[in-house]
Order: sequence, then structure tokens, then C-alpha cells
Amino acid sequence: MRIKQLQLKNFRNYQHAAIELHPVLNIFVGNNAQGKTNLLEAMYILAMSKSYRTGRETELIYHDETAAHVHGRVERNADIDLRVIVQQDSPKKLFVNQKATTANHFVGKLNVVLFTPDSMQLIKGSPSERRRFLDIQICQTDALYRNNLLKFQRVLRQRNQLLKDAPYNAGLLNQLPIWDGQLADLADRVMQRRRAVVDQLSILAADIHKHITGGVEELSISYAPFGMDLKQWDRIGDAGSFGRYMLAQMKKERPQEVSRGYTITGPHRDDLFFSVNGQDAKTYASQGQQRTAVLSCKLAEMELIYQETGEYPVVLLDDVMSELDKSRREFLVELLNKKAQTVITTTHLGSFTQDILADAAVFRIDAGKIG
Amino acid sequence: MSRYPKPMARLIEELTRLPGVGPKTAQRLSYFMIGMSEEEVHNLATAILEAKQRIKFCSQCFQLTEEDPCPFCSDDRRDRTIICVVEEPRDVLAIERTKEFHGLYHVLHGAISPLEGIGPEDLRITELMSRLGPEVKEVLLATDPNVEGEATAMYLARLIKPLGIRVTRMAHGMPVGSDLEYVDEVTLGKALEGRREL
Ligand SMILES: Nc1ncnc2c1ncn2[C@@H]1O[C@H](COP(=O)(O)OP(=O)(O)OP(=O)(O)O)[C@@H](O)[C@H]1O
Ligand SMILES: [Mg+2]
Ligand SMILES: [Zn+2]
Repeated sequence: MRIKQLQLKNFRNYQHAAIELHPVLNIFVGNNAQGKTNLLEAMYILAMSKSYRTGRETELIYHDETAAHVHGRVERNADIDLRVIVQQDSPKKLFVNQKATTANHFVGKLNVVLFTPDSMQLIKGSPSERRRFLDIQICQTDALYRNNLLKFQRVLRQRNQLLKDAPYNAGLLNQLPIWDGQLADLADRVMQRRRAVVDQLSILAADIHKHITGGVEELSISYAPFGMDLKQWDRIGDAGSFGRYMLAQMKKERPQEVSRGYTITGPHRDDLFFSVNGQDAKTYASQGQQRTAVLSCKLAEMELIYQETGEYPVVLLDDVMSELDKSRREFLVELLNKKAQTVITTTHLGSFTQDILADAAVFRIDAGKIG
Repeated sequence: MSRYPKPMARLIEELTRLPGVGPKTAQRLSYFMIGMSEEEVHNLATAILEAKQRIKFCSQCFQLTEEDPCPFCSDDRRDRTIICVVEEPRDVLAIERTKEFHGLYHVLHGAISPLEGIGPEDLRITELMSRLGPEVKEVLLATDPNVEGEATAMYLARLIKPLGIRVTRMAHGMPVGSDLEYVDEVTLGKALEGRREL
């Protein structure tokens, strides 16, 4: 799949912008703070219906304007017209082929894989970064998962509120059972899916990583549910059974839950474990090794989307070329050229060879204007 | 706001209290109303006032009505052995449109939601319980198919089932996370028909 056209109106520092994208490689070049990342953000919004940079959506609206428009034409089996309107006063609007729709129908019409300097948090950051990575990945191709996840998060917040209020009103604890069943059932669905996806992702990433490192490094990614190791998980086994385990845990942990004011066991505390040559990557891998591991992981994400949908996602690379060494850079561009439409931002074209530039569109970005 | 003449500022402020109306929309509406003829404005104002004065809640089912009891509760042809429980008055109309249900209704006026500080005692649950006389054989829980609606249904089921009354829930197949109000008639009709035992 690929993005054919992108149009912006009053989005970030763009008042009006319209571009036709190159089917293979697009390079946005410009100085700092000119609007390169803003363009990638706009494409990401067409995929996920919301930004990865901010939760405050009115930030997306050009200063003092009332609404930001992001409009894209995507080529898949049939062309798809996607439009997002973020408004100052009223809720955001989403359109697929000119028809207003909900986020659940909108998300996934366009798939993207985003790689930015922040992606390093995947290894270095907190478990929540890794859960976010995993969820974004799955939600793009699985609307049912997205729905279950949102419901899980909502039930969790409701239940935690009861636990928080319980010290002031003990009667509230009688209401826990009306949430527990839903929570356990949704937790089970979310975790079964996460486990399966991590297994797939790990195989793909190991393969890619081996290739990038010339066979020297072995990367492994494993699912790390809270409070148990995978052997235990496998013993608990099949669908529905994690839900039963969770119900039992909630019962057991009730006193701690009440004193802490939150739900202890569940997918909201899941983690991923990265290892390189058998050692914990977060603790032992060098900066460069971590970067390569993240790159492998992102490329695995791309392959996984291909496996799920039969089409490669659009790959968005923000400012990452300069951080990779020459051999990795070339490997990356060559691989992407063959497979996915790629959009790259950079402050200078120095890191690209003439060969690469020959089959690419270069856009100069200057203060919210695309040249 | 101080740059508006006082009466205009007040109108904007009042309109801003309405759900879904932000400051910008309130401004636009105010300018529009100022531009209307005096007669039009009068009609609008009396319509609001009259609706407020003449519409009340039915003392049995808590549906909006002009007369108490409401036309549903006072209609002898309706099946008094089954009560359909919904969250909001507008849900009654959604279910009526399907023409699949012929029993009585009960409007809770909300759903349980600890995040919004809404507990069972804030809903018309005691009133529902007091309606469950010997003639009632089934309670159909038609709360919204989202997590709060689900939890509310669960709460009611735990309360009603011990009374030996059949408790049912709308069948699956309804768009998840939606409001009943927005579910189309065919889907809603099917969900009513294929209700399951809780
Ligand atoms: N709502 C907005 N209205 C107007 N301008 C905005 C808005 N939001 C962000 N900007 C401007 O956009 C610019 C930043 O754009 P962006 O993050 O895309 O820069 P960049 O080209 O990626 O820079 P760098 O190379 O430093 O990453 C800043 O000048 C910022 O002030
Ligand atoms: Mg940038
Ligand atoms: Zn009535």
C-alpha cells in the first residue's frame, strides 16, 4: 500500500500544503523546526486516527485557527480517501471515502511503521513503552483487538476507581464483582493475542537481526506477563484459562488491591523482554546494539503487517539515517526500496548516495512550505 | 467575554452550558438568535419553557411523558409479564421502532460508573425492584452494549435472579461499545429476538 497524496490545512505549522508522493522513496530535507516531523505526524494520524506526539489534539491546529485538516489518498486494492478534522470546539471527525466513521472503522485503512530517535525507548524505556509498541502494532491490523483493549482499559479504570474510593465507603467493595468478570474475560483476550503476536514478531526479528549483524548477534523477544514466567503461562494454557487465573488472583490480592487502590494482576502490567546473545539487552547491550535491535524490531513489524494484510505498510523514518552507520543505512534503504513506500526526514542529504537519490522524490521543507 | 454587551454575554454563557456546545458554537448561535425576528425568538423560548413545564417522568417507568402514568404504562394491551430495562428515555423510542417488543419499560436514567461517581443508588433501581410483583415473569436488560451497560446489567441480574424471575440480556451482534440509540432497527430487532438468559 502507499500514500499517493497528502493535503494539509491549518495543521501544525502548515497553512496549506499538498504533495504527491513518490511510490518508492520520499525524502523531506530541511533545517530544524521547519516542519519535517509534522509531515510524518500527519501521515501517522491518517493511519491511527491520532498523533503519537501529543494527547492534546488542539495542539495540531495552526495557531489561532479553528480546525486542522489532514487529507490523504491511499492506494490499496482500491483507492481510499482518508480525512481527519481536528476541531477547537467540537469532537474530532474521521472520514473514509467521504463518509463519517468511527475510529474503530478508520484505524487500519492505512498501515504505517514509524521509526524515530524515540523508538530507542522500546528497549531503554519503561514497560509501558513496550506495551504501547505492541498495542499499536496489533491495533493496526486487528480491530477486534483494539476494541477489546479499549474496553479492558475502561473496565480497569472503573474498577480502580472503586478500589480507590473503598477506604471511604466500604460498601463499594460489593460492586467489584460486576466488573471482575468483564475484566478477566477481556484480559484473557488481550493477553492471548499479545502472546501470539510476540511469538511471530520474535521469529521475524531474529531473522532480520541475524542478517543485519552478519550472523554475529542473536536477538530474541519474549512476552513477559506480570507475575509469572512463560512456563507458568503455558501451563495455564488455552483460551479462557487466563481469565480464570485472573479471577483467582483478584480474590487473593483483594487486601493489597484495596490498600494500594489499584488492580494488581493483568495485562496492564505486561512487559516484553529483549535479549541479544542471551543477555538482557536493556542492561548489557551497547547503544549501537540497542539501536540495531530496535531497527530489527521495526522491520519485523513491517513484515508482520505484510503477513497479516498481504501488503507492506508505509515506513516513516524520522531523523534516524544519520544515527545508523553506512552499512546499516544501505541495508535499510535497499531492503525498503524493494518492499515498502518509505518516507524519510533528514537535515542534510549527505547520508544518501547518488544511487538512492536517483529513484526518490526530494522535498525541501522550509517554515511550513514544501518546495 | 467583557467585550460583549451584557445581555449578549449572558446568552452566550447560558448556551455554553448545553452539552456539546463550546464557546465558539455558543457565539455563533447567539449571533443567529439576535438576528431572528422577535416572533421566532418568542416561539423558541416558549417551546423550551412549555416542554419543561409539561413534560415529567412517569411515576412507574420513569419515561418522559405528558400524562402520568405514561401511555405505555396505561395501555392494557401491553404485556405486563415482561419489563425491558433501559438507560435513557430515548432508548425506549429506539426499541419501539423495532416493533419487536410489546411489554413494559423501565428507565434507569444512567448506568453504573464509578469514574463519574454514579452508583446503583443514583439510578431508578429501588423503583424497579418495587415493580417486580408476581405478574412479572421476565426482566429484559437492554442497557447499552458498553462496559458500563454490561456492569449495570450484571448488577441487576444479581439482584433479580434470586427472586425467581427470568433475567435476559440482548443478544450479541450489536456493535460493541455503541449506544443503543445509534443501533439500527434491524440489528436491534434481532438482538431483542435472540436474547439470552443471564
Ligand atoms: N499548532 C501549531 N501552529 C503553528 N506552528 C506549530 C504548531 N505546532 C508546531 N508548530 C511549529 O512547527 C515547528 C516544528 O516542526 P517539526 O517538529 O516538524 O520540525 P522538524 O522540521 O522536524 O525539526 P527537527 O529537524 O528539529 O526535528 C516548530 O517551529 C513549531 O513551532
Ligand atoms: Mg523533527
Ligand atoms: Zn410509564
